[in-house]
Amino acid sequence: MRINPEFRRNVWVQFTWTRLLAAPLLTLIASYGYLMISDHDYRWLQNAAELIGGGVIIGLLGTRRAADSLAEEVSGGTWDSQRMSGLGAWQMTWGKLIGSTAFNWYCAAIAVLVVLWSSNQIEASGGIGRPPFEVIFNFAVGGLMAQAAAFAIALILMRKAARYRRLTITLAQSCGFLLYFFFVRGGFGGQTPARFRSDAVWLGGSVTWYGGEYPTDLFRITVLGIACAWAVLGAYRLMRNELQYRSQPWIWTLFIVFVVLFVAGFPPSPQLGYAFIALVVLTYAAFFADHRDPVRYRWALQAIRERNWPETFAAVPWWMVSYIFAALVGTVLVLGLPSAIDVGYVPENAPPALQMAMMVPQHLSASLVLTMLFVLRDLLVMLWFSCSPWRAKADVAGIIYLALAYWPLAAILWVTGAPHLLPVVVPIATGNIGTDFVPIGIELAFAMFLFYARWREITRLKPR
Amino acid sequence: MIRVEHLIFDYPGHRALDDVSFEIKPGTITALVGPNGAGKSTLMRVCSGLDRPFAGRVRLQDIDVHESPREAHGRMGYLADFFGLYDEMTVRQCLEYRAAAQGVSKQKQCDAVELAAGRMDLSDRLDQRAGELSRGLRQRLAIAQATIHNPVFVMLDEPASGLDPEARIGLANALKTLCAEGMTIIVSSHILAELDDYSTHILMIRDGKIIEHAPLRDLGNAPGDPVRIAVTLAEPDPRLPQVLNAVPGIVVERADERTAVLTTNGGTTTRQALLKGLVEAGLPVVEFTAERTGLQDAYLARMRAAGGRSE
Repeated sequence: MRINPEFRRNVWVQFTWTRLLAAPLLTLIASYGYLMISDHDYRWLQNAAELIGGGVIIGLLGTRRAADSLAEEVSGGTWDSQRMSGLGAWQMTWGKLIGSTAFNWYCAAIAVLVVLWSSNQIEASGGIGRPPFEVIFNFAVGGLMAQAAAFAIALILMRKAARYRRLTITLAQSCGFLLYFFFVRGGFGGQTPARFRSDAVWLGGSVTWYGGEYPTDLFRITVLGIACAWAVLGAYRLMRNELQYRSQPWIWTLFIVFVVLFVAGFPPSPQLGYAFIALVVLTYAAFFADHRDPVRYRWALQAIRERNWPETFAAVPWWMVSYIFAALVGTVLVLGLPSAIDVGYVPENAPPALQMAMMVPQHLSASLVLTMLFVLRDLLVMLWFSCSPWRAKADVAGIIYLALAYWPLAAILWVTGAPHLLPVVVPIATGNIGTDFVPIGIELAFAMFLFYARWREITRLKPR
Repeated sequence: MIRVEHLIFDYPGHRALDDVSFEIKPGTITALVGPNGAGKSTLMRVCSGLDRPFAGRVRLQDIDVHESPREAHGRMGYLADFFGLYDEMTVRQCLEYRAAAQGVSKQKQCDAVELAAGRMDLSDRLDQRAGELSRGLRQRLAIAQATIHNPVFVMLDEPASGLDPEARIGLANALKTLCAEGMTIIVSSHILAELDDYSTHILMIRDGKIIEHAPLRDLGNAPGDPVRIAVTLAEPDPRLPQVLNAVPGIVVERADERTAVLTTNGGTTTRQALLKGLVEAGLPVVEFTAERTGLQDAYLARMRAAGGRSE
């Protein structure tokens, strides 16, 4: 059998005899000490082993190792030689993902044994222990999902901010850990405190999805499995890009369709409203994830001129796909829903943010159209940043722009008693077509002008 | 061997490679030279498939490098100017890893490691950690890694940078060995005198354009190229500078009573007239030698002709 070379290299580096022996020995000592302190309460040992093995070793440290596996190659100057190797995208992905975290998995496997042994002891004394399948599934699939997500995010950030190694891996690690925490220890019912108890309270509850009632934990496990598959697939596709394979955004499109169908299943109606919000969020996420390289956008335009469709689709940015879907879902919503929904009485002393939010259903269709126009304006402004001489800081500039463009100005307009001017700064319609759409029309025209002028400038090529 | 066709590569706001085309013949060592920022490293990265060009293509044998990057990488080796090694691994592990990553079968890996280590003179250091090697040895290990799969084409970006004179001689010998084993090599460097020792061809680039691609032996032999001539007399004669200065079409670089060095753009007619003048003046000429134009001279001349700086 041929071992993945990248996996083997990681094993060489990580597994020394000292570490191999120290991990079980320390676990043994810690477990014994824990039992002594807790007066042989195996429930505490079971929960502690699950928390430390899963939450800390896999969820916290494993995600950091996965993210750092790429960052250390880039900063160590070995990444180019890896990209020049004969390893394909899939080999490279799983070799790094599993290889870089191999020692974490080894320690987690020991922790699983402790959990299962403790559960066995609990059940032997008449209690209810943790189901072995769920323990192993949470560790293996939850851990892989979190690490694959951290790995994928590190792949994205590596191209954008390779100089800030600690920042990028901490960001990727945090995202991976939050996902782990949500899917394994928290989400779908907010039963986190119960998870630390030894009884079976956490098994209760149900989730409503497309009208059906599903046991919470079954639902969670299913979604976790699917999320894991998406995370691994995402890491693989990003690795393909990194290794210069031409990739068309079909997988991203499929992911968008999956997200739309998934979130549309939750009550209450209008269900497509969730999908629209998810698509807007995905558009911004994909936009910030994109390298936004003007040269690549020129490729796309050139490919369109040459009617080279495979090249055109390969160069289509993911955020554009998301925006097109958002626009489609938004159009369906505008056409299919009543233009206004009565939200009833909103107390005058309600927080301004809530009062503003309550204005949306009152002019629903207009607010949806405004949202799409505001997103387009933001994309154009941030593209203008990306084509500027200081394009390396375009992401930071974009975040600052978004932060300033919405809340402060909206809050000022609200407290100064000018809510009719809100459509100038936030996508909240007031029912007056003139004040709702003229300002955003002017803003859009100005953003287009700025972007076009900068685009002309940057594409007027000069030799070095 | 490798054919580059109308390559264009852009960075935002400027063009780094501008319609670059050339073909490298098998079994040659090509010196890629040019000023800082001329596009040497970009050209190597694009040729190696690490970066995708805006237009044009690179074909290695029958493979389009950007259409089938993995397949191309199986036949080529590349060493970047800033490379790293896995410092915690031994030399043997580094080489075994690269052999496996390049698809060398498990049965052949040991032989490949021995061969690569042998030709880079690393056989006695196989069990030493890469982090413990000197800079020169690290460079050799990096080249051994890049060539462990016996690629037909190797690109080395500034391999001599930071090496001491002894290590540079070792590197030159190593490159000659690789070439003798059938590899075609492109080396970029600023140390022109060393490239002169082992290169067979020169590829000059400036502002993203190729300004010269020729066999090194042909440099300076084209009609109109300046030729440097050394004259030596059997015994000193004070008339030598006067006689030389009287010959039209030559520039006297230095002259004393016994030796002189001069440059002429004229062809054989001018040289014949010069020799005739010396002999007719009764000067006891014992040597009249046209010096071979070195890489450095050729580089400086081409860069001057192209109107560029010559760093």
